[in-house]
Amino acid sequence: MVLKVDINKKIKNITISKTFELNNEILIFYGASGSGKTTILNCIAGLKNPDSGIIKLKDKTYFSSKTKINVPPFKRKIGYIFQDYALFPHLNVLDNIKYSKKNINIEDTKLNKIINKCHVEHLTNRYPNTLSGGEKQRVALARALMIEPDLLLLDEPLSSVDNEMKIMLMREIKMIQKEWQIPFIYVTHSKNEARFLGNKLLSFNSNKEVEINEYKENIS
Amino acid sequence: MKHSIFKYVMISIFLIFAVFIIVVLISPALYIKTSNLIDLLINNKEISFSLILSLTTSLSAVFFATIFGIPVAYVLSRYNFKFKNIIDIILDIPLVLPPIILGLSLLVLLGPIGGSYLAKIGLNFVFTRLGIVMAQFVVAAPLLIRSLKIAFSSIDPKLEKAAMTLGDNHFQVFKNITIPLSKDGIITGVTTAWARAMGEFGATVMLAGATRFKTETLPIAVYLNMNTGNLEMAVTVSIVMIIFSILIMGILKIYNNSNESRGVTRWF
Repeated sequence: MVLKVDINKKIKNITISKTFELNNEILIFYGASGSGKTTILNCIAGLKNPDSGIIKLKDKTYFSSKTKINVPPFKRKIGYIFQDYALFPHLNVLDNIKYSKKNINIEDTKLNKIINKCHVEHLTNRYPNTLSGGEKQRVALARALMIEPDLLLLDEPLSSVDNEMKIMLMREIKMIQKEWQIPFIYVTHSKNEARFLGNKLLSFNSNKEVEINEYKENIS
Repeated sequence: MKHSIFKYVMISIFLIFAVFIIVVLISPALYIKTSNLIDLLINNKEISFSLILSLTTSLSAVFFATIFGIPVAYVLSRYNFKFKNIIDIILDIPLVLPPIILGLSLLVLLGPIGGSYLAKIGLNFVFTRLGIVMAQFVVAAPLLIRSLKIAFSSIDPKLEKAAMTLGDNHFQVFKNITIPLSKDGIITGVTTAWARAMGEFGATVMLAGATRFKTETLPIAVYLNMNTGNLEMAVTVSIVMIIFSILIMGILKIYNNSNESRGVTRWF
């Protein structure tokens, strides 16, 4: 297994417990708003601390309450695409994309490969406030891929794009996952997105105090 | 018809107020002859001493206010802790408290209570230039902190989190994301705090005293010359301060207008 997660996190009075393992495939976090999907994503990224449990990616332990290991987010090789993309408004698209590798040259092969792969070559001089939802999504994807992540987290990345663009972007996400051969965790409350993208699904339910993990091999 | 009556009433009140403020500001210039004003500005050593002292002390005070103000404002805008609201209110109190009360508190603290201890490490605040810096710092810092707090709070925390997932540690996030995105708030805060420090009188006169050619900042020069009946001199110093204020406000206005045309949030 590439990724192993077994964590508990208390939010207000509800404890969310999630256990899953993942290979190089797409896992869907499926559930209503406020059910803790983003919280678990943040725990995996290191932006929030779980109350207990373990997070292992490849051979590295990123979090372990037993051995008191907690690797900070900037040392985890985890790409994160936020719900509204969180592109840096004071930097142009090129500087956003190469943020994690500030000193690399514009002619760098890896940079150009990612720019071409995400179809953002015509946007490099523009600023985030001039981009459409779909363009922002592509830039955020390119930026996350620049760190050469071992895992990619996508928090409702298609919530602000129209249906036509959604289908195109879903295809691209699937293609990039196949090409990069790393696990993706994709948060959504859309059945269509879950059905189209997911190899596995983890359901969240905010009504129960301690949740039973639902772990399906395929979405029916 | 009703709409136009409303409009005329509002514009009339606006004009009365604007004209009143303009007359107040230009009245010192109407009092003094231009030749006397120029002569005093060029040849009077007291004015140049006060101007240089005001500039050096206020810039020092704003420097220290920025060093302390940035972390204080960041903590207040980013972290939650016990008694945060109470501390927040306390830090705002110098904004509404008469400066003379602040000066008295500083005098008691840095004189009878802690003066002897501070003197041992070479710090003397009472009736010294260091006292001027301290008085200006205490009055200007809350103004700067308030501006910085608004600036930091307006930044989406997700941007800082995104930078962290891209390899930045906390200090790098602060340098690469937080500071550049709050640049306008910092510039506005520093400028208004500087203007406030330049015009500080009440706290300064209590802590540093009003000694000619020693602790004589521009506002103290006005006070000393009024006390000795030299109205012409007091008016000249006032004109220097009014010109300084107009310059500061003008620069801020131009800066904000250029930001507005670029679609950046207006701060002042």
